Amino acid sequence: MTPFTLIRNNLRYYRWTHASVVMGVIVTAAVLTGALGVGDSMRGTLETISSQRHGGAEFVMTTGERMFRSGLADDYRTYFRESGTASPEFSPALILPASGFNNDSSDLRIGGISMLGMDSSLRSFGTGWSWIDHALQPGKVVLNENLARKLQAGKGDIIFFRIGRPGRMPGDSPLATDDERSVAFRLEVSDVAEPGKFGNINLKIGQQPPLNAFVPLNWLQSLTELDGRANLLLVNEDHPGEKDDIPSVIHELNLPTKPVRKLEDYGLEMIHRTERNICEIRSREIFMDGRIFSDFSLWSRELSKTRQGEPRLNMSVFTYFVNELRSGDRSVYYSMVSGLGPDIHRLLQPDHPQLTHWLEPLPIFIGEGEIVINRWLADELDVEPGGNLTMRYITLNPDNSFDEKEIQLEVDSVVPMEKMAADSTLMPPFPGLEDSENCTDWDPGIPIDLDRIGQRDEVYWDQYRGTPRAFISYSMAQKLWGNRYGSQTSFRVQLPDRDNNPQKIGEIRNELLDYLRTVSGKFNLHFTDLKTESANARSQAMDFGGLFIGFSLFLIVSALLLTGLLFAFSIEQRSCQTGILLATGIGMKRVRNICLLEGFLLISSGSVVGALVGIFYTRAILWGLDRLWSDAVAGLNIDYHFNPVSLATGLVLTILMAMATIRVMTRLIADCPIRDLLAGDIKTCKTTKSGDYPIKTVICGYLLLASGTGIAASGMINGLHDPGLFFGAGALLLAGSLLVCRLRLVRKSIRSDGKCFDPHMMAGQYPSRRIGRSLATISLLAAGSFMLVAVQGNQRDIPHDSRDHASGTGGFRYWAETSLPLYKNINSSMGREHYGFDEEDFEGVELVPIRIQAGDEASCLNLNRAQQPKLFGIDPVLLSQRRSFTFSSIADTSRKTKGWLVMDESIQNVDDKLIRIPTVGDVNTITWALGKNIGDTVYIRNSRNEDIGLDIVGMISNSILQGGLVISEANMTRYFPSAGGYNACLIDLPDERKDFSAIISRGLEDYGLQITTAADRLDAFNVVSNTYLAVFQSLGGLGLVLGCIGLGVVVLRNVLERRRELALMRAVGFTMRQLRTMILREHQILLFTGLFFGVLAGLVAVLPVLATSGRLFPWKSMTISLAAMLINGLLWIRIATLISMKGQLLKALRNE
Amino acid sequence: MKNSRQPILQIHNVCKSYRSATGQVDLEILREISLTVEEGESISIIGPSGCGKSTLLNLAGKLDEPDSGKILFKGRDIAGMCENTAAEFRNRHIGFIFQSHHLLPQCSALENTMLPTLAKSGKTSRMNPEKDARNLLERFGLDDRMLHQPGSLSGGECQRVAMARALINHPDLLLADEPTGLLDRDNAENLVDMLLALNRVDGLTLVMVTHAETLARRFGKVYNLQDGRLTKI
Repeated sequence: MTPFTLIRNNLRYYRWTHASVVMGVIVTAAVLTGALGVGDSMRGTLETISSQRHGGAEFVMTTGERMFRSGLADDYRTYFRESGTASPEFSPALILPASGFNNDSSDLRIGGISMLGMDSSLRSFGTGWSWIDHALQPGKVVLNENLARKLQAGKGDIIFFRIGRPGRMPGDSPLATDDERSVAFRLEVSDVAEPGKFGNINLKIGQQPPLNAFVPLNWLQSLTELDGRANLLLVNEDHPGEKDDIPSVIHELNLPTKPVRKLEDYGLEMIHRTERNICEIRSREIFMDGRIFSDFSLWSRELSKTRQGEPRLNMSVFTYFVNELRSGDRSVYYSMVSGLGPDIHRLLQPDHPQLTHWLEPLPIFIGEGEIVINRWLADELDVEPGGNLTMRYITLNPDNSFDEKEIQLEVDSVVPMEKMAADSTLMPPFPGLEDSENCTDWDPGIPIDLDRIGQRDEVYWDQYRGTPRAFISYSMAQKLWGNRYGSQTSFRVQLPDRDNNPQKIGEIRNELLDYLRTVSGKFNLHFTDLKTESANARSQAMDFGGLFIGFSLFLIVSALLLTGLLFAFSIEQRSCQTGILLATGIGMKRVRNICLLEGFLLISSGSVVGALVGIFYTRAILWGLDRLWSDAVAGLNIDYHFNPVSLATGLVLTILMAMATIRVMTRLIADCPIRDLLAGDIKTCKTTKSGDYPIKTVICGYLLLASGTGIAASGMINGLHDPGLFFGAGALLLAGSLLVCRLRLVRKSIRSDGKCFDPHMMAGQYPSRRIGRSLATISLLAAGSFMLVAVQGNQRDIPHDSRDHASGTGGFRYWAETSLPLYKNINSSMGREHYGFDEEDFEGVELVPIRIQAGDEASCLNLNRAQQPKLFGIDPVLLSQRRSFTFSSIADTSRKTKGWLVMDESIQNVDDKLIRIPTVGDVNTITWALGKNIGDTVYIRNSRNEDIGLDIVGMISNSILQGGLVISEANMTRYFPSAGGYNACLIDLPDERKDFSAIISRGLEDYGLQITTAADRLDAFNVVSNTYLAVFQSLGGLGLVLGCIGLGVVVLRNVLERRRELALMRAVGFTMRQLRTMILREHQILLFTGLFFGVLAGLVAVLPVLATSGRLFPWKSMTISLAAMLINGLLWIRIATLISMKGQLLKALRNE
Repeated sequence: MKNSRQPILQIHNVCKSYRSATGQVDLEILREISLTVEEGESISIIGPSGCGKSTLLNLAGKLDEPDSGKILFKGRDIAGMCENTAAEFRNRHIGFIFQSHHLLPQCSALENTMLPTLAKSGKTSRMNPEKDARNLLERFGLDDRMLHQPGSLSGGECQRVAMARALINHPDLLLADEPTGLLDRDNAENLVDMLLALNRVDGLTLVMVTHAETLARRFGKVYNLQDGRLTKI
């Protein structure tokens, strides 16, 4: 006889009891490994999606509206081949926003399309691109599956597209003209590219398939007048296996050892003005960042020291178009004025006269508040040195409206129209001005009154073109006219007369390129490591394994409790045998070890089976996510991915948890005297010891109750609406209630009040005789009902009054979004007129235009963690005046009254290298999508490669502004110049103006306007969290079923244990009906107690919801759920009672 | 056969009381009880129900602890033993027979008999426990029932298996707590015959509590336990 013989016999003899224990373990293991399997599948799917969206590329450079040469790809390829370190493949592409519609099948216009001009170099990026040669033909388009589905298009269909075309200047620049910024054409669909064929190539982090249309690169370049230009450069590492090479490749890409890029790639051009021997550097976008060239001056000077060369003469120029120059009652309209900034350090050099010579007839210095005018202007205004002059000019506001400003200046000198003063090239090639034959043809992008232009102006234009009529200091020009795109229109290098040759020009060019190479990030010429970025996004993404373990937690706990309960029953059933083992001298430790070993065998076998069942559980959940709960994963089709590590983890975790549970249960016997065990009376072991009145339980119970009540009360008094706070308070109350419950049961078990002769009173006695199992049942039911109330209470529905400004819609009726940016503010008369609207169209309509800095979707619709979140730029005054949305928290409570205006505040900055911007965001975006909280900072980088810290100063409750962070429009235009124009708009209008959506849709059709109701947008976000709650409820519901089965098991066990007692009662005259009623009542007490405490604590957890929108609380669905739970519980009690009391009760007496 | 008359068990002024379920009243079961059991003696204790007979036996067999007084086994105080030592003590020196046989329903008669050898501290464990168990069962007339489970044995047979289990480790003292309580008269007589034969033939010291005075009088010494006091009859 060995312990194993005994265990073998036990396993055989108690097989049915053990089978139920094993079932409990199987459920636990299946749920646990299944949940981990869901996480693996989600990760695997996201990994597949991210590799598909990279299109075989490992690094990418994307420059938005700023173009580089498509030949840069060849230059890079040559560079790497020559250096011999690695041989990556390069492919240039042009990506432009577009909208489109299929006239044949639907009038629905689809916005948000990416039109991708690609070339055959992509073939080397993977076999997925094999279609590129035959499918990409001029006049034809390849759609990705998603776009084809939305357009209801197939091969041979004709699709009408409108593509956004970058203008010469960014649309938000001052003096940017109303160029035709879009072009429309029709294309025939030649193929549909599936995800496996890289149809879903997308540089934004997210699992949502993009809307892609592919056309030949050179065809798109020609169509958009962007010949030889690209804004996307994809890199494919040639030796993906040699991972050690990758850091050097990315390093070499971003800072090559010698210049690869040309000036054109930086958007610059160098012109040699041979007649004056000047090298002029200009930007294609007209305005240039002055800091770059002032730094270049310093860099160049330092360089000249080291090579003992002669320093060059440099000068910054800022030429602007001013509205009026006036002296007294005489005015000259629409003139060029230049701010000149010669390198003043040259004054310290002995060749100072050379500078004087270069600037002639202009003075070296022009003081602040002074102006130098040419003779023509002096004559026109009849003003001489010392006289005063008023200059009126236009500046651009963040909302693209114009302000006319004026400044008083003193005339420093009058210069003749010669040399530098007659240099017409000081005027940059402003579109709308440069090519005009006559002044009357001017279209400078700002409102001008052509009637003010006279014959003398025309003569001047004919003779001197854009020669500035006046000159001010460069620093003053920067102050007056500096804008987010730059504070300089050209940079000039004066060459000595002897250096008037191509070789010297080449030296300057190379020197400049050398310098620009070190600051290429400021031009957005920066490669990103896609794999690392995606891996970061995935690693920080929502852990679906953890999430589903969370969702299944109640089910797991229920299964474990049931397992523990059944194992405890098994131990109780054999208490007498345990007693005899102890009595015959087998030590307690050995007896417990035998129990544990027996339990381990059961648990491990159950875990192995459960882990295998878990595979089916995973597949069932994936099926549910595909069909029932697809909103939770934003429609993503998750493929099953098997990971043996997760299987093993689930297996081990189940064994550990179940062993811990049965270890607790074996303690039942450890504390029992042998005589009680021999008497088969395990129940009295703990409770009948005198002096065991649970004083610690009393203290803990009341402390928990007091804490829960205190937190909830304080939260309500202080107007806090943090759901976590109240959930915590509810949980504390629940724990406290259960401890108090235990106290009541203990008191009942040790005090006899002589009432047990009444069968009704007797019904309350038995639960107190079995405290452990009674409390386990109550706890399970209480926790279940608590979850039910808390979850249903937090379910988000569309607010009944979505017009309420404090609601999640902000009181707006529509959310409108365009594919192409609107550079004119539709909220202004000028903007409306520009887009062809009448003023009466907007009667009663309130608009809040929004700028969008493209980035990763930071909402529950993105399953990855957003790395560079999308930004919304909104004028805070507009939202503040309306009191739109509700702030759930503000970083500094003293600023609470400021609401949206906190975005306008400046933030004390201790780090010079970091730009800090006050930011507001939706609580869901900040908490869940970004994993941040109030007071935290989100670090991003703008297109100038500047580090930006978005300081979260406010959080608004669940709203339509999910998906991005909100900053003030002023900060957006200042720090994110690449976010050109408005891409979205919030619209509010009275009921009688419902025709407005049709008007605006029609008016902005070419911009790919898509309009949705604010309530629908909010619902699209809510549906995700509601689906999570539904999943939680469904899995929790399974847990509750297990809980109710547990209740049934308890009933069965209780009755079977008491058959003799009940038989005696029957013998002395109780009817079966009376006995049944008694049994039913005593277990109904458990059911009602559990539900009561659970619901009470649950209502505390949803107090904020009750307080803020009591009438929206889902009373009806909650009552139905609770009723179902109650009926389910009552049913199990009844079934168990009927089964257990079946047969001849009196036989039990005879067995005695 | 052991002829020496050394005291094997000495109980001096032992008191034991239990607290009531309400935790308020102490029920005094044993009041300064003293008893000496010498090696090879057979003693029976009679008394009314609830008088504390079983309690006295539990104290003697180290299944319970006295409130006061002293219990010496072979001159050694058995108070204050830790749980493991107490278990080893019971395993090596004491054999128990209870009113109910307390056989494990999942084990055969042979396995039930060998159960105490699981502790591996008994005298038999180092030899051949199965052989010992077979011998004992044969001796008690159960040679053809060895592989039967308790469910298929009669009450008398079960109690004989329980007796064999109590003897497997060759205990110094056999404590029998109303072993005939659930048996009919013939089976009860047979069981007592066997017990007394063990005492006579093997010199096994025997203490039995019983209600049945006629059976009790067949033992060497008879004591009466009433109102917490033990008197020799």
